Amino acid sequence: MEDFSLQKILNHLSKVRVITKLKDGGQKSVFVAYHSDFSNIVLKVVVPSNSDEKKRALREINITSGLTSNLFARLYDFGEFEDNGITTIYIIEELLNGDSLRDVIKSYAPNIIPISLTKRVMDSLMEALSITEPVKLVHRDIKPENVVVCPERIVLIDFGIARRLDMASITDSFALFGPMTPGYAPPEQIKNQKRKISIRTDLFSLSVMFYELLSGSNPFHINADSPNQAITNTLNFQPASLTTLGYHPSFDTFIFNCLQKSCHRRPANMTQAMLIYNQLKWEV
Amino acid sequence: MFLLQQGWGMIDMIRVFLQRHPSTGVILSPRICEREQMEYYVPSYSDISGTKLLFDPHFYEPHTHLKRILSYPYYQDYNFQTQTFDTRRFCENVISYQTNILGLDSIILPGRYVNSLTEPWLQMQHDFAHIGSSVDAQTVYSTVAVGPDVIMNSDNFNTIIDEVVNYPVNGIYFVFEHLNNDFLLNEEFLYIILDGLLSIVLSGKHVIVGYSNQQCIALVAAGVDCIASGNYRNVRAFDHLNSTDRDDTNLRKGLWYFDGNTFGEYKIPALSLAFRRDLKQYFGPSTQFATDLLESSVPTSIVWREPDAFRHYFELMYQYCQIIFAIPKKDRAQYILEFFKQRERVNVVLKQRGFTFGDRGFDQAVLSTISALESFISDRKSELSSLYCHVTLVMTHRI
Repeated sequence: MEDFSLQKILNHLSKVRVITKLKDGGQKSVFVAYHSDFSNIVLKVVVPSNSDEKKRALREINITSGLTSNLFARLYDFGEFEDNGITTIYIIEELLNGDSLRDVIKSYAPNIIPISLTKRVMDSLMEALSITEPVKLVHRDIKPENVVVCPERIVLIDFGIARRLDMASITDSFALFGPMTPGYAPPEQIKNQKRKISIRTDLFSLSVMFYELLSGSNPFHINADSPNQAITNTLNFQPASLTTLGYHPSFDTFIFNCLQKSCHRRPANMTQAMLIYNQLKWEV
Repeated sequence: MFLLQQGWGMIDMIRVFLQRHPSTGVILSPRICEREQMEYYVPSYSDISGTKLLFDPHFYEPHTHLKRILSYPYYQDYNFQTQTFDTRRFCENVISYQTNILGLDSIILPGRYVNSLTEPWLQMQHDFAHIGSSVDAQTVYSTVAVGPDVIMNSDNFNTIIDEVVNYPVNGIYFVFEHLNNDFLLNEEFLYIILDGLLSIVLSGKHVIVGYSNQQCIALVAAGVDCIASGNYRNVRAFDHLNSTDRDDTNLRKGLWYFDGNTFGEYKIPALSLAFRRDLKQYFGPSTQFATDLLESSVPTSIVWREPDAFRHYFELMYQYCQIIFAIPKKDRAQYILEFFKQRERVNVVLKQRGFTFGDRGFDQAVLSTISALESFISDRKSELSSLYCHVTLVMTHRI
């Protein structure tokens, strides 16, 4: 984002003072800032290139604003304004005091993270999905990069490609691949089969991440030297049993139920998923 | 729950059955009933308190020329060409006929038969479900009508079930066409059906399997809520060509006795021969419609007519369903497996005694049924055990 655009934004947001740029990716920039009402915040600025992009950004805002649990980053304010025909959308969010789960994993490498932390992460994310399910939200990008580990809580962030199931999808239905992260996305997301996207999609991605936390490796990244190979692995291969690493068979039961290639074979809803999850023998 | 599937000549039989068993119901058919008859008789059925009335819109073969089906108002101005067909308008007309004209509490959405999966079919099904989701009805059933080729193709059948479980309706009316026999002799085929139905049940939908025969009691192991069966063979097995003007009068001939102990059907002379050979003890149980027949030493000497045969079949199916549906869902699969093993034992004994089962014997089908059930129970044990507590997803309608 060019500095003069940022300046125009700040002129509009008189209560905000930018401290540091965190990310700059095309139409979207992320800053750590200071807000006179909310103290330290995250400022996301999106300049949509077309009406679809604008819809996507507003969708993220609409989704996040309805999530009040501390399992999600609090949304303080949002809006849009036009200048010289260019629409800019801003989002003011809570600044989280924590590291991404990806950074936490790296900090423990070559060891895996403690099982107590894995449980804490999974307990929180299962609860988070139990909150998003009734309002028909699908995150669609659950991975360690989108989980923040704070001292007092675990937070699921970045609903950037999430969608409400009762709104029409705005990505190209005929794209070969849908928007997704190879290695975490389930088959229906890889194949851009929008009608199949549901809570089962998130359960798949969550279980990939769970497997990674328990074993130290993403099961579909093993022997994959490219994103395409990770996609092929996801579509065709079953990960190895976790009992070979000393875990109780209940972990296989949960993970492999959620990693079924056909989504109708995965737990139908979070209630069913929790039934299996609550049978995990963590202490063994 | 056991439902009647309307077949030829059942109008009066339906009323008598519903009066006798008001907790059941019937799926009415525009293929069988003239529109005027339908609109005349439905109120009389509705007057029977507690009964479940449904109307199958028969959209299986959109290019049908069957005048009786086309006489219904939702087919007026109808022109099915894939590119120009107004899905919304047609679906709304089907819904309107059921709710506004017939006054039904629950509705069945249209659904095309598929034997070779296509994206337009998937999209149309999806569209029908979304249109139906805004209807204020007790239960809205999406029709899923599938053929043997699509069932036996894992990718295709999984794709269908993957989408069906996401339909925003609270019911599925499932009909499937199988190969030429009355019964499923292919255990793999039956296993696939059980597997798919369980996933649909687990997604929280109320499931009816239409065009059932006695073997479809096995499908209750997957947690389905209702099976529907009729009098003649063409309403005990789904055939999408029944929605065309194919002549099926030959299908309706013959007088057959349905035996609960063996689960087969036999012509009266065959039964009479069995009784003469001291095999009478193996046949039964009786109902009020077959008492004279089964108590006689010479069944061929008893006046036993086609309506008696149908009423006896319905009564036994109703009784079996009453017992089975009273069992908690999570325990039904094991019970049903044992149920069919009992039938197998009787079939084995009769075979050893030289009994000839004939075209409609269940002696071979019982083995494939047991095999499919055992495999299904083994593979999906944990989901079956969760059937008692699965929560219906947030739906737009009350069930």
